[in-house]
This record gives sequence, C-alpha cells and structure tokens, in this order.
Amino acid sequence: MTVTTLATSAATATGHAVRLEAVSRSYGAVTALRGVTRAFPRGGFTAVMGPSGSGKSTFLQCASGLDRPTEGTVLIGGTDIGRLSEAKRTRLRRRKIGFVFQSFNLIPSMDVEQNITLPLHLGGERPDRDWLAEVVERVGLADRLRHRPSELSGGQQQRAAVARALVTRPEVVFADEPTGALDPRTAREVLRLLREAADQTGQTVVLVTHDPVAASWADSVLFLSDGRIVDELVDPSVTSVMDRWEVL
Amino acid sequence: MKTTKAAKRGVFTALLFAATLLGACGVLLESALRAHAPVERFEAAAAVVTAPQSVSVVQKRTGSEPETQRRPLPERARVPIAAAEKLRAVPGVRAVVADVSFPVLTTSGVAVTGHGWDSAALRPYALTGGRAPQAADEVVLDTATAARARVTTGGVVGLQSSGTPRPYRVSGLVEAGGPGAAFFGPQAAAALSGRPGQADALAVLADGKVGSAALERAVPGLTVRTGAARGDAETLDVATARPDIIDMSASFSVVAVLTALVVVSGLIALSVRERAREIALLRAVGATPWQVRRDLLGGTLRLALAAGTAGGILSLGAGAAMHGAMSAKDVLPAGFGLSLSPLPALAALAITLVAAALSAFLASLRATRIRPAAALGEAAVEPASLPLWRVITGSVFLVLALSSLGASTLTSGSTAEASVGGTVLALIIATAFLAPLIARHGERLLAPALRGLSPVTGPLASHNIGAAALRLGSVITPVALAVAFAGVQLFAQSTAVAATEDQSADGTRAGQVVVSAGQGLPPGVLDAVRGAPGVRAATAVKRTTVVMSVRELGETTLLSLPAQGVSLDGLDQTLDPGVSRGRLGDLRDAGTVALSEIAAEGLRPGQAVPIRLGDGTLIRPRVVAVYERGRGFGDVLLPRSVVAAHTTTPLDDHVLVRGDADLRGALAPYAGAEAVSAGAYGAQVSETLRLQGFMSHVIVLAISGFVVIGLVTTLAVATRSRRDEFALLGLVGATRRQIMRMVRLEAAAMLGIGVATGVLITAVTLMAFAAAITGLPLPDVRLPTAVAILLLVTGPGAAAMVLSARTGHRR
Repeated sequence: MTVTTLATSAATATGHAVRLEAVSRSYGAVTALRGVTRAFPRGGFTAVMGPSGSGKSTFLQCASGLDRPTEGTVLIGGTDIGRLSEAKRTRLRRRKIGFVFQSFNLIPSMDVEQNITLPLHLGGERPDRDWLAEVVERVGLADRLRHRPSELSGGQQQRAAVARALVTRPEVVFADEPTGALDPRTAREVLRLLREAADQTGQTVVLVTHDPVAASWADSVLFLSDGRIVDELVDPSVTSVMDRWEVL
Repeated sequence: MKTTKAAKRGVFTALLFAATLLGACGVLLESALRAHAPVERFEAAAAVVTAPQSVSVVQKRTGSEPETQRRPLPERARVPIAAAEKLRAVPGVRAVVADVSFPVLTTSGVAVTGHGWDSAALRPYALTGGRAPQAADEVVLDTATAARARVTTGGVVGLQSSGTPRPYRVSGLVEAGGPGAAFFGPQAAAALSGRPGQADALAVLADGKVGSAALERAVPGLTVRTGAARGDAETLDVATARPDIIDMSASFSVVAVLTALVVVSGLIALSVRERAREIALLRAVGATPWQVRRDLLGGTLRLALAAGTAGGILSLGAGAAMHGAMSAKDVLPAGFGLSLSPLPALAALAITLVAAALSAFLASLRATRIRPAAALGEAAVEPASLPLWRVITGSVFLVLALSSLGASTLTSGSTAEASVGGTVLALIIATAFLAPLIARHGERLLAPALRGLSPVTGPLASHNIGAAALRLGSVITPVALAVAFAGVQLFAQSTAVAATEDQSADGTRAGQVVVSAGQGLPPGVLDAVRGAPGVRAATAVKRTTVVMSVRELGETTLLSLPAQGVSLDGLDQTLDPGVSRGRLGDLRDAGTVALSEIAAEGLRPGQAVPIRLGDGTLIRPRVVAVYERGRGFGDVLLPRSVVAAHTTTPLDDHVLVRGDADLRGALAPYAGAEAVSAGAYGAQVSETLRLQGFMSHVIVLAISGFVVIGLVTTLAVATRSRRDEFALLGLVGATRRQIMRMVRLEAAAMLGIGVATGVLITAVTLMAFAAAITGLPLPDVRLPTAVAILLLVTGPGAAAMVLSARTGHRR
C-alpha cells in the first residue's frame, strides 16, 4: 500500500499518468511495437491513430498493462508494470485504469448497475454511492440501472461501459474504437463523456481509433505506423486529421 | 458470472450419476463389511464359540513395514468338545451344546442338514408331535421337510449322509420356519458327523447375560460370537464372499470417480471455452486469475453439493436394488444381508465434492491462461498448444500403463486380472491428458478421407477438428473411456471364462461325470463306479479352497486358491492338467502336491511348500508336478484323503469316469447321484461361471450409461457454443445442408477417433491379459457384444451432435 501511495504521489509530481520508455513488443518473429517513448499528461485526452497493422492494439495493450513489453519500461502512475506479477498487474489495472471496448462487452447476465460496479466488486470494495450516482447521472442511465444489457440500445450499452470505466476513478481511461459500432449521434454522446472525464474529473484519456471525427475530440493525435510514432497533431480538427491521414 | 445452463445441467447430471454409483457401491461395501449370515438355528444361544475362521500371515515387505494379510477360511474349522467343560464353568452359563452339522439327503431328494437332538434347543425347534429321537435309527424332521419327503410321525424315511441311504423311523416333528433340519439321537449324530470328540460349534445357553469377555478368557484361541455374528457360525458363505465383494465395490467406485472426473472436467473446460470472452473481459476490468478460478470452483462446488446430496440419497435405493438383483441371481450368498446407513451417502457426497473441486481446478488452470487482451479482439481464439504439464502428466500415466501391461504379461492368473484394471485406468487417464494431441493426429490421418467424402465440407470439418483440438479432447476421452471400460470389463471376464472352459474341456479325459443333486457324493460312490463293468478309470474330485503365500513380481501375497482333492488311482486316465515339470504320477501320498504355474512361482519340484487347508490346518507337502491348466483344474491338486479330513463335509463334488459304461446300476444304491456326459457337465459349470460376471455387467451398463449421458451433454454444449460460427458460415454463403453435413462429418470423425482410441486400449489390454492366462494373445471377443458396445456409445453421441447443431443453426 505504501509503495502505491508513494508511486501515486510521484506520478502526480511528474504530472504523467502513463509513461512508455523505449517500449518494444514482439510476437515471435513479428515486431508490433518498436521503441515507442511517450508520456501521457494527467487530465490529457490523446487519440492514437494509424492504419491496420500499425501497432495500435499492441500499443494500447502495453500502455494499459494488459500485456507486458518485450523491451523498455511502462510506468502506470509511476509503477513499473514489467516487474509485477499477473495478479499484481491485475490489481493495479483495477485501481488505476478503466477500459471501454468497441463491442460493448457487458456481462449479459448482470443488470446495468452490477455491470458498472463490477470492477469495485472484484476489488472487494463498496461503491461510493455519491460518485456512483454522479457517474450514472453523467452517462444518463439513472433510470436504466435494473435493466439487462440486452434491453438497452447500442449507445446505452456503450455509455454503461463508460460508466464502468469511470466508477473506480481511474487515472487513465483507455478506449479502443469506442464509437466503431455506433451511429454518429450516439458516437458523439460517448465522445462527449470521455471529454468530460478529462476536463471535469481529471482522468487521462487515451483513445485508439481510425475515425477522424472521434480523433478530433482529443487534445492531440498520435500517428502510428509500422510500430513507431511517426507524427503528432496538437489541437486537431476533423480536416487537419484527415489531411495528415492522407499523407500516411 | 454464470456458467451456461446446458453445461451446468451436464455437470449436475454427471455428478448426480457419479454420486449415485459411488453410493450404491458404498452400500454394497458397507453390507459386505457388516454382513453376517442370518441367525436362524442359534437364535436362543447367548454366544457361539468356534475355531477361528480365518488365517493371517505377517508378510515381509521390501522397503516398508511388514504387513499382516488375512484370508477367510471357506471350510469349517472344528472345536474340541472338551472346551465345552471350560465354558460351562463360566458364571451365568446354563448349558453348552456341542453342535454338529452334516449333510443329509432323503431318498426322495430333499437336502437338509443333520444335527444332534440337543441342537434343537438352540433355535429352539419345538416338538409339534411325537418325541425326541433316542435310538440310533430314530430321527426328528421339521414339518416342512417331512411334508416334502411325504412322511409323518411313526413313518420310515430313507436318509443318506456319507454312505448309502439307511431307513430311519420318524419319532417326532418340530415346527418349520428355520433351515430344513433332521435331528438324530446324540450317539447317532456323533457317528454321522464322522469326527468324534469334535464339534462344529459350541453354543452357549445362558440364563441372563454372559459377558463375551468371560467366555473368551475361558477358551483362549477360540472365537466367541454374539449377536448378529452368531450367523457366521451357522454358514460360512457370507464371511467367505466378503473380501471379494469388498474388492469389487472398491474397484468399481474408483471407476465411477474416474468417469466423473473425465466427464465433469470436460464439461467445465468446454464452458470455460464458451465463456472465454467474458473471462477475458473480467480479467481486463480487474479480476485476478485467482478470482476467476475461485468463481469456477465455487460454482462447481455448489452444483456438486446439490448433486452429491441428491445422488447420495438416491444411491441408497440404487444400492439396495443392486443388492436385491445380485441376491436374486445368487451372486451373493444366501443371507448376505443389506446394511443401509447414511454412511455411503455421506461418503458419496464427500468424494463427489472432492472430485468436482479437482476437475474444476484443472479446468480453471485453462481459464486463467486466457489473456485479458483477448477482450479487445473480436474472436475468442482457442489456445493452440497443449500445456507442458499436461503432456508430462499424460506421458507419465502412459509409462505407468505400459509397465503395468508388462507386469500382466509376466505374471499370470489373479495378478494379471487385477493388473488389467490398473492398466485400463492408467491408459484412460493418459488419454484424458493427451486427448488434444490424439485429436490433432487423428485429424491428420482422417483429413484425406474427409476430403474424399465431401470436397467442400470435408476440409471444413477436418480444419475444425484440427483447430479445436482442445475442445474435441472433451469428446474423445469419454468415448474412449466408455469403449475401453466396457470392452475390457466384459471381454476380460469372457476370456477368463473361456480359458477355464477350454482348459477344463481339453484336460478332462473322462466321458461321463457323476454329479449329485444334494450337497455332494458320498465317498462310497467312487468304489461303486469303479466296480461297474466297462469303467476303465474313475477319479473322485473334491473341490475346496486352500490359502497359501504366492510370489508375484517379487512380492509375496497370501492368496485363496481354488484346489481339488483327487483320488489317486488312475488319475492320469481321467485328468490331464498339462504337466510342464515333474510327474503327476508322483502325486502318491499325503506328503505330495501338484501346483499350477501360478501357484508354483519360484518353486521347483521337490521343494516343500506350506499350504493352509480349507479349515486352516497347515501342511507342508513336497511339490511333485507343475501344470499349466490351473484355470480348469484349480491351482492346487492334493490327494483327496488329505483334503477330505479338512473340509465342511466329507462328500465328493463329482466323479470323473473314463470308459463306456452304464453306471445306472452302480449308482442305484445312492440317492441323488446321477451320471451326465462330460459336455453337459461342462455347460453346467460354464453357466455358474458366467453368473459370477453379473455384477460387472450391471456396473458396465451403469458406467456406460453414465459416460453416454456425459457425452451427450458434452456434445450438445460443444455444438451449441459454436452458434456464432454457424451463423457466420451462413452469412458467408454456406447452406444449411452444408453446415449440417460438416457437423455430421465432424461428429463421425471425432467419434471415430474416440472409438479407435478406446478399441486400441481394449485390444492392447485384452491381448496382454489373454497372453497372461492362456499363453496366447487371443481374447474371447463376442462380436454381438462388441457391436452393442460401439452402438451404445456412438449412437446417442452422434444424435446429440447433429440435433444440437440443428437447433443451434435455427436460431
């Protein structure tokens, strides 16, 4: 516990929620990530773009501690995840990281509230009622808490997934193509929620996407190609992202 | 977090079945441990004193503690009547009756047991008319026997004991109800029992309670039985059958547990596969590997608790039914009572819980191999490689199986039979661990055939088998288990029976056999037959069981071996046991013995060997011959004169007759003696032998049913978990017919691989077994039975797969 507290304060001190230092990841002969170095400032909203096979997914898996890099260091809240066992990494993820996936990935047998509070239950914690109410209010599902995922629309399901990602007050929220399966209007709602998380409660948001509209919500856009960060666009707009995308 | 309903139902059913089977075996086991022959004739006796009816020997064990081995004695051990005086001196004892029993056959063919009149007080049998027998030619019968023999008080009845029938006057009748009995005057009874100074039992009549401790102190070395145990002094069958029933129940329990492990872990593994994405998601949002494992364990244990409790309760009924069926078929000796207590149910529950926990734990190891990153991807990819620990564990069991196989070819007889079970178990466990490898290699072999059968769907099916090897392992193992277990259990038994029949037929040189309608043939029958014109040789055979230490694989084990006492003159004319060393002709006097090769392990002709006769008497005859046909003629051949004095009755079992003779005249003086052809006699013996396999047939049916239920559920779960895949195939243009065809081909290929594995296991094991008992690797396999086993296993399996694909595809 002491170590974690220290680490958290260290992270706060440096202002970086996640830092990758010379991170490479190979799967046998295939190298998906080649010496990526990058820090994500607290409260920042960063989009990661790149064509298929550019290493986006591997980047996300390594940065979020789902996977371990073959070389280099990944620091989440100041903790080097390369040194942690599977169980310890899981616990770290539970406390510090929230996930939003493309396919909404709710557990069908649980109702909305159970799905949202699942990470807390797994950690043996009681949900903070006020915070839960706030998160539920923010995603607009206050009247849907007793519903099963199958009774919700796609947009509602994804908003429930966002609420699940936020319920632990994580330092970082990783979103993997969260709008990929949604129509433009519902996609906007989800992106607004992520934006609010960064602006209002200080979560660091990392969004992996190849939708220029989604990327335009971020503070900056990283372009990945062949396992490397090849470009960065600060304060993007839909058109500037599309122009850069053309060049790649 | 939930396991799918179908998988849950499957696990529940499998555990329910396992618990029921276990508990049923437990009921038999408990009955065997507690069973006593019913107390009928000794109801009024406070205690019954007998000689010890078992022998025990301390065996040295290399590298471990010496072990005390005990075997029951199948023949009555006598007590000296002199000991009665010491019992009478114990305070509280009113009287002591020296009880003798001897076979009595009326000339009309009613078999009863003869006793002295003073034994009538032990039940008591009360006189309904007439008076007690006094003169040497007086007898008292129970009313039921008298009615069957058509005599009344004052009438004359012909009774045969160990000689020719003699006329007796019925001096009175006692009420029926107990075992059929004939009571003789004291001197007559002592003479007929043929053992002056000795009694079968000393029954103690007391006024109040007599402490058994006080009785034991009075007669050290003798066994004092009170309560239900008094029954074992009346008849020895139950006590003799006890160890066999215990062994059988225990070994079937092991198979039941193993089957449950295979079926349940297969189902859990499948449900883990089905839930792979959910598990990955849980892992991604923060469930540790142990949380996932705990969840699986907890869910399975809850099911096991319910299934174990229900199965435990059901098992009491199932056990009682099994006991009833076995009693009805005379597999259990008369009076082998049923003991019902909650113990087997509790044990079944406990073992079910442990087995469920073990299989859930093994399956959960796979669950935690699912990487949380898998939640990001669209498809749940099946881990391709088999974990190393599985390969190693599987290989270890394979090596164990092969060495046990080696052992069964090196030994013979009973050890070979015992090691067959071990071989099959080890091979099946190895199959369970290595099934994915078998599936993958099997697919490679079958791929060309599948492509040939159907160029479009064949390769699809073949690809599925190769890619989903882990899933298919859950199907192959139970199929192989069912085939191998049923095959080995049934055919090992029929091989053994066939070996016995063949050896007996090949080694019997007699054309006729004299058999008895009662308990046996009086010794005089032999001389009568020998005197008949046309008889070239005749041999009286008295079957018994001896207890001796036999060396097997370097270990010495106390075994009960079937033995025959044979009359020696002209023995080689009637019997050919297949002597390999020494000469049967040297079996001449009381100090000689001929042994089968099993019993003679490590012995040479000329050596003396300690043998305990059926009543526990130790003899040390010299080995004069070693023979091969131990199954046909028993493992020990002794002179009849040696055996006769140490058996319950002095009667012979049958007389082998060589020479074309009409024996009717010679047999006329004897009641119940009849000559039959050697062929008819062989058929009769076979019938008895085959009945012995009754319990294994019941168990084979139960276990196969169990496996089939597990298999059907497994296949249904496996196929339903592929609904998405079928839908996708439909989207990319596969017709419903094509999908069904693919599923059918897959089912056929997988069941084929499973059956092939099972047949291979069966063949290897049976050939080793056959080689051990007959010298040739040719098991006795009945084609209809083999076909029935294959249909029983594959039919429901194929149906389940095709049906569930149909409903799966419709959605």
